[in-house]
Amino acid sequence: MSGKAGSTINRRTFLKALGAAGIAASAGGAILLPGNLLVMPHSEGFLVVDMGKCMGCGTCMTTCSLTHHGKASLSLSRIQIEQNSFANWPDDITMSICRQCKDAPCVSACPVNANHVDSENGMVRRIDPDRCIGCMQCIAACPYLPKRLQWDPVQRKVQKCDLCVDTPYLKEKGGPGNTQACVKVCPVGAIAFIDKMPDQKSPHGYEVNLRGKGWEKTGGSREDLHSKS
Amino acid sequence: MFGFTGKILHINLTTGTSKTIPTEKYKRWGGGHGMGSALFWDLCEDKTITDGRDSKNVVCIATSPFSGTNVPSAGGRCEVVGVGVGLYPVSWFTRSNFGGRFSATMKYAGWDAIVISGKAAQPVWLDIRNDSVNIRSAKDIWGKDTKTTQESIWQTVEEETETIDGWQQLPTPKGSGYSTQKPAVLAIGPAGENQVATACLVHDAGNGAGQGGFGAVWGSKNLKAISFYGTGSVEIADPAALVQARFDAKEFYAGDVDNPDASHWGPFGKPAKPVLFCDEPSKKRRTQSCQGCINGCRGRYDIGYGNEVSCQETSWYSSFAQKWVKGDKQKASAIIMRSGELCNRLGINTYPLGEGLHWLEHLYHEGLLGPDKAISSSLDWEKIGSPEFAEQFLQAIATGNDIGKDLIDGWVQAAYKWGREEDHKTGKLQFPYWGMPEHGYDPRAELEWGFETIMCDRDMNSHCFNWIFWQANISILFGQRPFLAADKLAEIVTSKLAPYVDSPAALDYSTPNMYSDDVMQLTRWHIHYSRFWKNSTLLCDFRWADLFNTHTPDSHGATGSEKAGEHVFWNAVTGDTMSLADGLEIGKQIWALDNAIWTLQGRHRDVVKFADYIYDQPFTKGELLPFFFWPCRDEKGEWHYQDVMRRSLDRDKFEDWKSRFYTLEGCDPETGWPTRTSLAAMDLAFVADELEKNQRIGKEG
Amino acid sequence: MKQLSKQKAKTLLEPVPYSQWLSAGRMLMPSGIHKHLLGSLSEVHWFLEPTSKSLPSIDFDRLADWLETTIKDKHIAGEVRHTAEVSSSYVETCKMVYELVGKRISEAEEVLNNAHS
Repeated sequence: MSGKAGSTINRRTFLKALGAAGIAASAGGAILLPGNLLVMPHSEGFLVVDMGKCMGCGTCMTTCSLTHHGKASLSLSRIQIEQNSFANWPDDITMSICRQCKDAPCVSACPVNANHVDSENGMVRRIDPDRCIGCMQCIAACPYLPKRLQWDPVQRKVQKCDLCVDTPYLKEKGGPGNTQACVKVCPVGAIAFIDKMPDQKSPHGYEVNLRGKGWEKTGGSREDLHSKS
Repeated sequence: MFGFTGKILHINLTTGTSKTIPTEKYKRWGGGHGMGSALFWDLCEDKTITDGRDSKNVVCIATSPFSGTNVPSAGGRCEVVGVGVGLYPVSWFTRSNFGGRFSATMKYAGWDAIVISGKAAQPVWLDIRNDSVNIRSAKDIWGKDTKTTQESIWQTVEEETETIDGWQQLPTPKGSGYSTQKPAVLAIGPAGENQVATACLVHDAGNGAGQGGFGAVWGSKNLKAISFYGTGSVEIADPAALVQARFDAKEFYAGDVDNPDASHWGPFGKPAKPVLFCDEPSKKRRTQSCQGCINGCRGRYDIGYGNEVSCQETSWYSSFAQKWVKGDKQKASAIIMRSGELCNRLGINTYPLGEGLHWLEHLYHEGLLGPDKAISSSLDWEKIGSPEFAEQFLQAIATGNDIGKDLIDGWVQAAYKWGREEDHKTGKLQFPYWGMPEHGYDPRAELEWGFETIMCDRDMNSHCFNWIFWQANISILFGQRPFLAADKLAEIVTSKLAPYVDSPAALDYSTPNMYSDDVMQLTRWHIHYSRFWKNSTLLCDFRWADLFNTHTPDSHGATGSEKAGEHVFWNAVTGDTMSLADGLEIGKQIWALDNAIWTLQGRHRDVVKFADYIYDQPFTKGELLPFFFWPCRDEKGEWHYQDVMRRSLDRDKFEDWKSRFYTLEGCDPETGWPTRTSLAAMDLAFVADELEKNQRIGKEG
Repeated sequence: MKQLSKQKAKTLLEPVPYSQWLSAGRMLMPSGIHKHLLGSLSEVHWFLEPTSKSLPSIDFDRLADWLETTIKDKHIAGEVRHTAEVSSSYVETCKMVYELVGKRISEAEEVLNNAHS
């Protein structure tokens, strides 16, 4: 583990690692301690969203797939915006983002350490496509619906949000502390990047209010969607 | 083939079969309208038909290379072409356009366009999931409104698709694909089923292909809905350039919703906000947009109605509802939003309703319309403006009952049926062109709007230059100097119009200059721009062309710019090396092809004319507005914003204008028909062959 | 200013027949300008009420003529003419005429209320 990575562990987490024999002793920035305990440093960046502000234009999705794959696609997007145009606001739109979980089950589930904590890039949880064997165990391990990892049927590999670390089609540097394409492209500022880990326990920990005074000027309400718990 | 999927789906409803057409042959047209016109040309065996409800009609719903991408305010637009219904005096081959996510989903399913020919024996809907195409019975959804129809299809597809971990699994040629999205459905409501001239196609809550009567076309074919569901991608030639251009469009040109500034101008420059003719029904809403939009124009609310109802849908009943509730803005808003939503559900184009209902109200008060009157109607006309009347009226329109019985073939047609042709001629019924209502921008003042509409097939509804009206007039209404002085604005705008325009004079709409070659060249630029960049590459009319934009230091808009111009996006997506002007050349070819179809339908230059009142009466906008300012030059050649009201068109001068226009477009000025030489020069000799066979080829000049 | 008579107050508040309605409109960018017919003084009032959504579209010379000949109120017609002449802008005129018409309606209502009490 690098010194840099070690210095960023602000709250150690011990996980019972998968018991499968042959698991590598190190999954990127995570460390496997004796007794199969996995130490996983916090990610240094997170996406948060305002589901009451999103326009449903899907530009974040196509820009995500473009920057990572060079193709415009919703299925290959690492952020998923679902909508029902007949439903009432704010329930007409759901924004599903990877939470860069504290004890990321998808990282723990990977049998080949393709899904790892990237110590070179702000401890983001990301999948090395060269190592992914397409077993989909990470997808199964993700506790959220829709699953925050995507199956790429062409490459036959799994992908997930890497906060734009691996973006060959983004002209600027991506990753924690740098550009996130979805944040930058969103026409209404409904996605934000933060470096402080959101509340992991609340179901709405990654849902924030990004509607400022300007929003009110255009006629919209700034009221929080969820009471703080 | 970057930008395109490579496949076009052709459904023959008569035989119940489908086949795949390679896109390659149609690539030259760009997509959308051009591609649709070319497909119509090839697949419609009788191009002389003048009623879109004829089973020989062919209707094409086409995407573009931009569909499904993040090109700003383009990714979700979709074009519909075919012979229309309800236009006057002839239902031309025409077009309509709608937003949402239908075109994007069509692309993700692997198709560039879908062409419908023939007529099904029984009501059907089309179920397309990636490569899988099924023509299915619509027995259970026939008679349902567009919302119920879409929800029913969503449910059917969901039940028949395996859901794994919150993702729907669909077969693809390369294994399973996954999606979290709903199928994109385009449907008709009862109005379409009853083949009403003003019936439209509706997608999601508020995207309608309104003009042209395509709902009636689908109804005549027993086609209730088309559903696309796809898990694929659009291949992009230069993804990094595309992403960067999209970033630049936002950074340099777009309005910022978090820092709205009402003083900024330009279609890109206004922040996302619902466009409503009434108060918002609730502040608890989002601004909602089509796929890929840079600043949305509709809302979704927390109140159980009004989702995506905007613009004209909120206008047609607005004055009546406000009168009914005596100015209570919130009560009026509820009536207006609900009646707009009902139009979407019934599948009615709202555009003719506003001007049309004022006319019907007039006939009622004149004692000509009502129970036991010459024009029989048992609706409760005393309650016009109430929610109950809106419901009665819209149901009558959609089902072709009561007053709707005579309106089924069109509004101007009804005027003639009722012996009220004078109303059409005098402007009591303000439908100045092709049986369509005046848009709010009268041809006598906003010249390009009228000239283009009459040289094409339907209300042009293309706002590129119209932003000039707003920039000038809103400022003047507030007692402020317009942000851009008239000479500066003329210089900026006309600098974007090469190679057609080489002088700011093209924007001078003063009476001495209104029939000039300069204004004509601006009109030609706009027709060709709209034909290609808007209707074929499918840039949204509300946001493009961005001719001037006060967010930039020099007030030049995104149009033609090297940061975020139309061609920048085109080249990034397709890998071409096209210029803005190259697109205009394709637009010219598209107009030529359309004109050839109109010629086969029987068009002659003599029918290309406005309703009489446009020539016979000075424009006062029904005395609504005190002025209509536009950049003009005075006798000394100096630029001012000048009132261009209180004038009419001169028949002889406009006829001369037409002759010059036809000549420039390579047509015979005697007839308006295309010539072989000009068609051959555009690689359209096959079109000339067909015209010649029908003895409708223009004489060479 | 002369006190309104009861009859005059009643006349001012009555709607006029359809044939005498005044053409006006509402304008919304970029949708256009759409017809709105006005049939009473109170309708003129709420029609001119400021809203951020759209602008009233009306010719104040024609409004003044209509108020004089149809509503038969020379006083308010004169005030509208004067306001249109001196105000700094069209929108300012809208706001001022809105206030004037509102005041005139209140006066008429007060006369009628006093007559009833």
